[in-house]
Amino acid sequence: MTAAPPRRRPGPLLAPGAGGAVPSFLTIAALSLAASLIVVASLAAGRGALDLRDRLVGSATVVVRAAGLESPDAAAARAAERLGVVDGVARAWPLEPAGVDGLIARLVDGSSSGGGAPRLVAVEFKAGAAPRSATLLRALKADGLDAGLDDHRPWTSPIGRAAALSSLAAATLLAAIVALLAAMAAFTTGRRLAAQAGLVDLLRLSGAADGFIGGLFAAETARGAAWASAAGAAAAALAVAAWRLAGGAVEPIGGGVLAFNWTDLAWVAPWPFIAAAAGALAARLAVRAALEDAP
Amino acid sequence: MSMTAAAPDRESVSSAEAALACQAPVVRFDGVSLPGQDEVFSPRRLSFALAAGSFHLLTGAAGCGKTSLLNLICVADRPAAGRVQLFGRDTASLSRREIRLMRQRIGLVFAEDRLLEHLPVFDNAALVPRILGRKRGDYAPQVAQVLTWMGLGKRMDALPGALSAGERRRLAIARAVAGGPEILLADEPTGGLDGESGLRVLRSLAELNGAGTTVLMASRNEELAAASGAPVLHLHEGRLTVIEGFDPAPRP
Repeated sequence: MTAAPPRRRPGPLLAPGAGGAVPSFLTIAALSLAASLIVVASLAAGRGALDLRDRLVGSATVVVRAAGLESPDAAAARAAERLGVVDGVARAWPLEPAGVDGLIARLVDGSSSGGGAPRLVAVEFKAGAAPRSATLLRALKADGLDAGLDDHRPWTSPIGRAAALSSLAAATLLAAIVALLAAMAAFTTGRRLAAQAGLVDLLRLSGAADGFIGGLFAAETARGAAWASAAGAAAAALAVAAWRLAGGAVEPIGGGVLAFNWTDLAWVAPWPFIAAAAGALAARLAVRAALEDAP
Repeated sequence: MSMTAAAPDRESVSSAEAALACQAPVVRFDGVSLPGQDEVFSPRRLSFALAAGSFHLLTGAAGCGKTSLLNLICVADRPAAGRVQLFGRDTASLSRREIRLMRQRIGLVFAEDRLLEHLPVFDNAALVPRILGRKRGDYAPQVAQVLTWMGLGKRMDALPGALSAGERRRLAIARAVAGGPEILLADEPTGGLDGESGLRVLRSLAELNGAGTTVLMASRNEELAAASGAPVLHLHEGRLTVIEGFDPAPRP
């Protein structure tokens, strides 16, 4: 009488642990950690740049010089009042001299000091309706004010370029990490192939296609890479979360540090899948190359 | 084509022509030099044919080329000279895909078992059906049947490390036949076994042959060859002799 076959699922054809893959998977975990941090940092930096650009596009600073007997403060107040009624200006207000001395010195080329020092007036525009610089200056001149305009909008181009460059650098780094990850997977597969040469020979002599053998190694490498990468990504997410909870900058440009959002953490999630895909592809190619010349 | 006569006091020799006259042979060697032999000057060319459904033993001393000959049949190697035909096709003209398909029609029992030590008996025996992409539900009953036939029905969950030498050899045979091959090539399947276990393996192969599978079994065990009653291909110093009714040499 024939015995009943066991009900359990078939075991893996490749012997687990053969070929010493642990160091490779640790490296993949480290690479995924770095990649996840790069992604999150790049997102935060991009968001900071956009916020800064929006602020610059929506504001200007006016330098007002008092003339005649009028005091600098009075001239600044008058300028703010006049600018406040220009079309497209949301509000305008004189800045306290004490807080902006350094800025004034730069804007007037270091020639301001003493009682005749110019004053600054901040102008905030309505969204999407910012008046032209000439319109503001005309309005001030019509009121007999000696003023110059520091229009922030020209600054947005370099900021945009810097942000784009930063994104490009991050993308390049990520591409390099994916390439390294694939190279590591191919190296690991090569070692595993050598360690299991007898099994590979058995499979081939039993009629297995190279693709079948490649599939075995690809599946195993993908699984290992996915777990390793998940560990690396999780470590990155924890680090970002800890930074955020410990009071890491909330304002994008506040304090000159990156401001992470909780939603940024979602972007580390694809890394295990990317690592698995890169690992599987690299493993398949490595097996194909290794078996190409086999009889 | 050359068939050389063996010692006249040991066996009766069939003619090469008779062997090659097999109708639709599944394996045919025409003037084949084994790998490593001088392909130009060696006079030792092998010619023989195996008819479908036949049972042959391949005998000879260790290192005489039995395994090399089996390797040529399963296209694991190329002949130094001559032509090897498998299922009517010259193996030299086969593409990689065709070689793979040919191998799927051959069952192999390796001299050194080559069992997958991390997998239980059932999974070892089910290797070929898995390779062929068959569904577990389709192959499981057949594999269980083969294991039961080989006396391993109660050891399906055991790891190979827990098996005796005889059980390991029988598992290797079960693995080779679980895919339903047309030819079974068995390299020393009784190697390392006692007489009783060896005979049991031999009987299993004979039963398999009775079911229609062509069997070529390599062995150094001349007593076993004689006991089988099957025609013997005897390899000696690169020459092949086809012997009907093999009688082992008398021992001092």
